[in-house]
Formats: sequence, structure tokens, C-alpha cells
Amino acid sequence: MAPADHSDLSDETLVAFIDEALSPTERRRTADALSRNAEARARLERLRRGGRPFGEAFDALLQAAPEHRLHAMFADLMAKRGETATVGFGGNVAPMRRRARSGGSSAWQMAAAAAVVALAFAGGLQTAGYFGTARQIAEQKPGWREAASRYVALFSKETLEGMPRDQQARQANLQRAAQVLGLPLSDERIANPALDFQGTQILQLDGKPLAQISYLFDGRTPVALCIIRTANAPQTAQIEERHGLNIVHWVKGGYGFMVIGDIPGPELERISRTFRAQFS
Amino acid sequence: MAFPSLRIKPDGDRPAPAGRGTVAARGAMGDSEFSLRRKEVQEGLPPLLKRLWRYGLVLSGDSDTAHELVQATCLRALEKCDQFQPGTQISRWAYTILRSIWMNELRSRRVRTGNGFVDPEIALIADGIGEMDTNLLARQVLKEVERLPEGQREAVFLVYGEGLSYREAADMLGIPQGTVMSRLAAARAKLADLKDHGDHLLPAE
Repeated sequence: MAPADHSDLSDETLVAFIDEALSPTERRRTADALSRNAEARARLERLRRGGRPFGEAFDALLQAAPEHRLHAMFADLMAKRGETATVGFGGNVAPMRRRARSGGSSAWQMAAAAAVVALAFAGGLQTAGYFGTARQIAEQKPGWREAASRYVALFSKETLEGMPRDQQARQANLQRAAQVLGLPLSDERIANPALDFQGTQILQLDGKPLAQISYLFDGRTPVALCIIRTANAPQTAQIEERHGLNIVHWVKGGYGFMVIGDIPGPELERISRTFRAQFS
Repeated sequence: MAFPSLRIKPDGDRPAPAGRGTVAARGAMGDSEFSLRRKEVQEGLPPLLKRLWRYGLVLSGDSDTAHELVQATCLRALEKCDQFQPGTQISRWAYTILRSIWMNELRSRRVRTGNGFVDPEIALIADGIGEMDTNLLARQVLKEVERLPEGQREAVFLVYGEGLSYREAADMLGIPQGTVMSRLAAARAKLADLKDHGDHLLPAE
């Protein structure tokens, strides 16, 4: 009558437990067995202590890759083979979507995540000018939705927690975005009943300002409304997926809009409808 | 900057499995199918270069070797594009090639310099993005990861860095899934010890 004895509480299982890689049944069974096994709990604790924000650390390594040199090498290789490189420098690939596997969230993980994102910002969140150049974005020309979604894919709840929280700073950033875009952005206009406003950033894409207004959905999932000036003809809302994120995008009145987040399409479509009405 | 010339054997030295060689496969699949595959490979590689470099760096611990590995991988992939299965993930295919070049051709002749993949120089060569000092924590983590044995380091990278499932990592490494899991467990145990013995700069998790 001791199910714990029959449960697999090997280090391997405990790692899978930490990584949330067990099926719900296995997970329940393991949690159960753990509650009756102090020795295994101690091992679990040790394995947890061996967790690090691996994903963020490896992302930083990706940022350090000598991109131009690699592309030059590839072009050279193609030329030597008598072929032309058909794809240019559009290859700044966002990391594959990761499961939360590096252990629980904590201040230092947030710091590491923020540090990685900081690489994308020339300035920093608190600087007055706060006109991030998002250099990886600016040096590519893969289309604004691709560039912006690649960037948004790096965002986590913790990233947004690093944004200015006081009302005055938020207003100032929002109004600065309105100014550079030439598009009125009032609190009412950017409000959405399904979303909790977090802040505004101005990025730059090929010399054009791009406003990213950030929100949290359900208190934890980052959602962004991105706006850029465009010469394109008006276009009704369309849904697409990039970098594992859902996107609803449309063009209206000389502006391209995009609502993006890791939330189901229908939900995102509902959210975008509010914005479409407010920007009509 | 010049890189050491590659010692990749030409195709002829390396007999392809029966029926999968370039000429045979090309003949069998027809020119249009071949062009399609070639195009997919040619277009699929550039977006992967940075990630391939990172994998090469994690394996070799040296940025020049990483560059060399990417170059050799691209060359091999372009030569063997008929072996790429359209519709499958080109990243996995390219990773497998890179790994095999590392294991079979470069690892043995490479003497680890000890510089490691988190040497400040790495940050400085990054096309001018030399602002790694905002990233001390990430660097510290990489330093710790680098101290892991190669098998554990690779498992940590593939699962926690690239987001592969245990199964996917196992398939790529050609080992049982349980081995991937025990390598992760061993890596975590070692990193926990680093933390416990104060041999680190990280704040508590």
C-alpha cells in the first residue's frame, strides 16, 4: 500500500517534471509520489537549483553571431558554385518558441530576458528620447510584419514589467509615438476591454517609425498593437501566423496596423475588431 | 579575416548510400524535382546561418571553428541538396550535417584553446553589437554551461536553447530519449553543485 514505492522518481522523471514534459496523469502521479518521498523531494530541489535561464543565455549568443560575415561567406560560397544567392539578409531568425523549461520565473531570469531585449534597443527603456533603433530589425528588409513579429516574439510578461509604470511616463511615450506617426493616440483610442495596457515603444524600421503599444492579455500573455505609416492601399483585416504568434493586420488611412500575440485566432480577431473601430 | 581552409572531402571520396547519391537521385527524381529541392536548400540556409553558428560555437567552444563549421555545413548541404526532403525542417537537416562534420572531421583536430564561447572577444566581433556587458547574467550562464561535458552541454542546448522535445533531441543525436533526459539531469546536478559551492556569480534562483 505504498504507491510511492512503485512510482518512477528517477532523476530523469524529476527533470521531466521540472520541464513540464510529463503528461497530466504522469505529472499527477509524480507529484503524489513526491509528496510521500522526502528523499526524492530533496533531489528535485537539487535539480531545480541546477536550472538557469538557458533560453535567454543562448539567445544572447545568437545576438553575438557575426551575421554579416556569415552571409558574406554564404554569398561567396554560392558565387563559387556559380549560383546567385536568392535570399538576401532576411535571415535574422527569432528563436524557436520555447516551453518554459528553465525553472520558475525569478528576478534574475527577468533581468536576463530584459538584457537580451536590451540588445535590441539602442537606448533603454528609461531614456527620455527613447527611440530604440532595434538594430536587428532595421538592418533587415523582410517586410514590417515579419520584422516586428520577430521582435515581439522575444517579449515575455517579464519584459513588459520593465516598462515605465507611472502614468506620466506612459502618457509621454504614447504621445511621442502619436507625434512621430502623425496619428492621434488617445487613451480611449488605444484602450481595449480585453487587454491591460503596459506601455508604448517607438522602434525604427528602415528609417520609418513603428509604434509598438504593448498589453497583457489574461494578465500574462503579451499582445502588441503595432502601427506604421504606409503608402499601401487600404486592406481589410487578415489573419496570419509568424514565429508562432497569431497576427491580425489591416491597412487603413495611410497606416498599417497589426495586432499580434500568442493567443487563439478568434480571440485576437475579437480584440482587433475593437481597435479597427477605434481607428476607423 | 581569413579562415583556415576547409578539409572537406569532395563528394567522390564519400560514397553516398545506395540510391541516394547526387547523380542517381537526380536521375530518379527528375530535373524539376531536383531544382525544387535545390531552391529550398539555397533559400533555407541563409535564415539559419546565425543559429548554425551558435550550434557550432556550443559544440566547439571557438568562434573561428563555429564559422568554419557553418561554411562546411552550407557547402555540404548545397552539394547534397537532393537528399533534403522537401517539407521537412531544413534546420534539423542542417544541424545534423553540422554535427556530423564536427564529430567526424573537425573535433579530432581541434585543440580547445580554452577561450570558450563567452570570451569577451565573441561579443566584440558581433558586427558591432559589442554591448554584451548589459548581458552579464546571460554570459555567466554560458560560462557555466560551457563547463559541462560535451554530451550534457549539447543536450542542454538542444532542449533548453533550441526548444526541441526530448524525443526530437534524441532523434537528432541518435541516442535514446532516456539518455537525453539523464544528460539533462546530470547537467542540472552539476550546475546545482556549482551554485551550492559558491563557484558562481549568480544570484539564487
